[in-house]
Amino acid sequence: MRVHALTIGVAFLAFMMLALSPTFSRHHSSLYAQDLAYWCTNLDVDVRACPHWQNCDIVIRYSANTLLPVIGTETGDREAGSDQWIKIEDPITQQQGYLHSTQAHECSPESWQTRPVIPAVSETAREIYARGLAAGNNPQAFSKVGDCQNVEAYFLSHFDAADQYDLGPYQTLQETISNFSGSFVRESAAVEAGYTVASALSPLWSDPVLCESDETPLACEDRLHNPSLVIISMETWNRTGKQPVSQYEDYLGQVVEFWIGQGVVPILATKADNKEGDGSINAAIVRVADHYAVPLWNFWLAAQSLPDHGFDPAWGDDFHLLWARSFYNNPERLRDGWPVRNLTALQALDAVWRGVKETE
Amino acid sequence: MNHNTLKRGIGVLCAVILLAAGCAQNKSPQDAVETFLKAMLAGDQDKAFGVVCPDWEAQAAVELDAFSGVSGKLEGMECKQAGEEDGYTLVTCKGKMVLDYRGEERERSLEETRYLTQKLDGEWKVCGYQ
Repeated sequence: MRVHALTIGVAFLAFMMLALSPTFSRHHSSLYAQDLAYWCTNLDVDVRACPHWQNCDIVIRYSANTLLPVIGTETGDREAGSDQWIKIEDPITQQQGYLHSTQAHECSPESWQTRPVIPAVSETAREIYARGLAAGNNPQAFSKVGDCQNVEAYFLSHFDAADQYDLGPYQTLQETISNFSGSFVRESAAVEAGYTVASALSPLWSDPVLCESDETPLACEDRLHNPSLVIISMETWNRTGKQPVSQYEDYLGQVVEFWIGQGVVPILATKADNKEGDGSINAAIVRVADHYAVPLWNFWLAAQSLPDHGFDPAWGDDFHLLWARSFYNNPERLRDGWPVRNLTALQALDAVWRGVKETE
Repeated sequence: MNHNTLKRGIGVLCAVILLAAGCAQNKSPQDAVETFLKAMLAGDQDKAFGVVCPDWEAQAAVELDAFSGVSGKLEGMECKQAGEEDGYTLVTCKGKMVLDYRGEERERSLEETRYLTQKLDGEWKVCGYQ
C-alpha cells in the first residue's frame, strides 16, 4: 500500500514537472502562431534534419535575427557545453528542423509579430460577406488596394495565366484561382505607386478615365469591379517624418469602414519592411484588423524568415522584395520575397474565401 | 508743404499700397486654387489651411497626406473661373501635376477637376471640388 502510494506520488510529481516545463507547455499542433515560443537566430544559421552536426542534412538556412517558432527541444551533439537543440518549424513551409541552442536565443516578439501568416475568419467577416452577397456583390471577384507592392506586374497577376505559375505542393489553391479568375491580373483603380493610405480616400488620385471626378479610388474600384473580398496592403507612410502613425491608423480605419459598408470583406496585410524603425505601422495594421474583426494576412512573419528577410540585396534598401516567378514546384522559390508574397496572399485569399463561404 | 515732405508722403503711400497688395493672398478664386495646389504638393499644411474653407479642412488634410508619398511639381498650371453653382464660384485649371515616386515620374492632369471656391471674410477660399 505504501509502495503503491509512493508510485502514484512520484508519477504525479513527474507529470507536473513535465507539464510545467517550457517544452511541454509550448508544444502543440495549433496553427495559431501566437501560442508558440519564439527564438531568434544569432547569426546566419543552417537548420538540420536531426540534432547532430554530422550525417545530418541541412534543410533550410536562415539569416541572422530571424524569428522562429519553437516546437520543442531535443538532446543531441554537444557544443560549447550544451547538448540542447531546439526544434523549429518554418512559418511558410511548416518544415521542421533543429538548431543548436547556442545558435539562437529566446526572444520576446511583440504580439503583432506572432500573428499567423494565414488569417482566421471571424463571425463578423462572415456577416459582412453574407450582407455583401445579398446586396449583389460578386462572389467571384476580389479587389486590391495598395501602393507599389501591389501593382499587377508583380502582385498576383500571373495566377491568371496558366503558363506563368506552378502551384507545386499547393495544388488545393487552384480552386481559389479558378473562382477568382480575372481578378488577379486586373488593374485595380485603387492601386498606384506613390500611394499613401490617404491616397485611397482622395478623389484627386482617382483615374480620370475610369472614375467619376468626385469618386475616391475606393469607390471607383468598388463600382467597377463589385468585389466580395479586398486585399489592403499599404506600406508607404511618413516620407517627410512629420506624420504620426496614429494618422495612418485612422486612415486605414476609414478604408476598412468603407469596404465593410459595401459588404466587402477586407483582408489587411502587414508589410515586410520596417522603414519607420519601430514596427509601429504593422502594429497599427494589426490593431485595425482586430478592432474591426477582419482577417489579417501577416506577411511580415513570412518575409522575415527568408534570406535577407525577403528583400532584394541588389536594391539594398530593405524595402524592395527579391523578384522571382511563382513556380512553387521549385522549393528555392519559397526562399524568395515575391514568390512568398504571392503564395501567402493566395493562401490568405483561399482561407478567407473558404471561411466566409460557410454562410452561403 | 515742401518737396521733401511730399516725396516722403508719396513714398509712404506707395509702401502702404505695396504692403496691402502683398498681404492679400487670394485676390481671386483662381489664386486660392493655385495656392492650395502648390501648398498641397509642397506638404505645407499651414499655407494650405490658410486658403481652404473651415468646413473643408479635414478633406484638405487628407489631400495633403495623400500626396505625401511623392514629390511633385505643377507644370503649365493656369486656372480660371468657370461659372457659379450653389453659391460657389467654380474654378478649372489647365496643366498637370508631375509626381515623382522613387525616381519614377507620372503625370496627373489638372483638367478633370472643378474646384468650389467662396469669398469668406474678404478672402477667397477653396471649399471642395467636383
